[in-house]
Amino acid sequence: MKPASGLLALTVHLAIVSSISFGGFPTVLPDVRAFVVSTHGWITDQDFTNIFAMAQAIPGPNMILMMGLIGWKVWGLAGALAASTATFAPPCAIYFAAYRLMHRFQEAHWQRVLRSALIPVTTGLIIASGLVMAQAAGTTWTAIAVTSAAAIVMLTTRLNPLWLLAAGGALGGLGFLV
Amino acid sequence: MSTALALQQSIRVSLGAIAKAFLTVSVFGFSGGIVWARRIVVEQRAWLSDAEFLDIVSLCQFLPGPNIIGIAVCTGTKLRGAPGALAAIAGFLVLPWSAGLALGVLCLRHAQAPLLRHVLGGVSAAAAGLLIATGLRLLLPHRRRAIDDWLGCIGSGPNDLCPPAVTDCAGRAIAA
Repeated sequence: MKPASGLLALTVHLAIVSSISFGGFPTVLPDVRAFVVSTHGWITDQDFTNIFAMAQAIPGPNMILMMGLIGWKVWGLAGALAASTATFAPPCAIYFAAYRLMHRFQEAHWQRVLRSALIPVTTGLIIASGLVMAQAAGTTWTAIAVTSAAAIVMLTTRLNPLWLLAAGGALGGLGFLV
Repeated sequence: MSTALALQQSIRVSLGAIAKAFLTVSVFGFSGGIVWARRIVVEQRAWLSDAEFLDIVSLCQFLPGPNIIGIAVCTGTKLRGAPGALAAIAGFLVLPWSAGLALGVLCLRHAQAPLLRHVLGGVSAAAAGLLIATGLRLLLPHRRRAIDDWLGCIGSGPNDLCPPAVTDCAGRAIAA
């Protein structure tokens, strides 16, 4: 187990990068990797990659869990708690303050204009993240068919999306998407 | 007075209900939390309209941090203020984080098994479709707005910077 001063350094570092992680926490992952692997050598590159894959596969808050697993690997439970808290607490405080502020000026004209201008940007970003995820999942025609079918069923029915995810997982497990 | 109070109490959402909703969003959210956030908060509980949900998503996308937990904080704040935000965060984090940490610590060594990778690949392909559909769902109610805004602004005359016309367009668009 590494000294506790390292845990303090990691906590402060995570609190800072989570406060500037515009576009989501994955945008600062390269920096976190450099900090824990290269600068301090707390974990190996292979550990980092394995923890990333693991966190992606487990249902729940992936990035917060991933930082928790890194903290656990080096400092045990205290490390897991400190690293996770540093990852979610600062952004939560920012969200809370910003929402209060947005609410106060809700009827202002400038905000109406801004809100209506942001609609295509926001919806475009969601659709784009879907396309990026589809690309990462594979570009075989069967994978594209699964993505398209899921989108169409989701748009036209009120079926619980879990069935679609389960169907995708089953087809993948049977080797149809490779 | 008493009827107003009764109304207020009848629409007061319990902190437990907020925590439970975001626990669900958190557990299913690995496939794209926004899909579940919209399904639960807008479609099932009707705590927010599609327009309010979109405003919150817009706000969260332009702030640092995990956007889905931002949606939890904003929805909780809207429903019950600061306690609502804390309930949403607790629901979103406590159980999934504890279970996930235990699971992660236990099976970190088996993450690379090929079957697991193939299953996850299939889940990702379907999850991608769900994300695209959610984006389209949020966009659809506004499909006529772009055209209306254009016509409104063009019709207002040669002044390019027409602020009254722009705000008028936006106002009508919000109302539509």
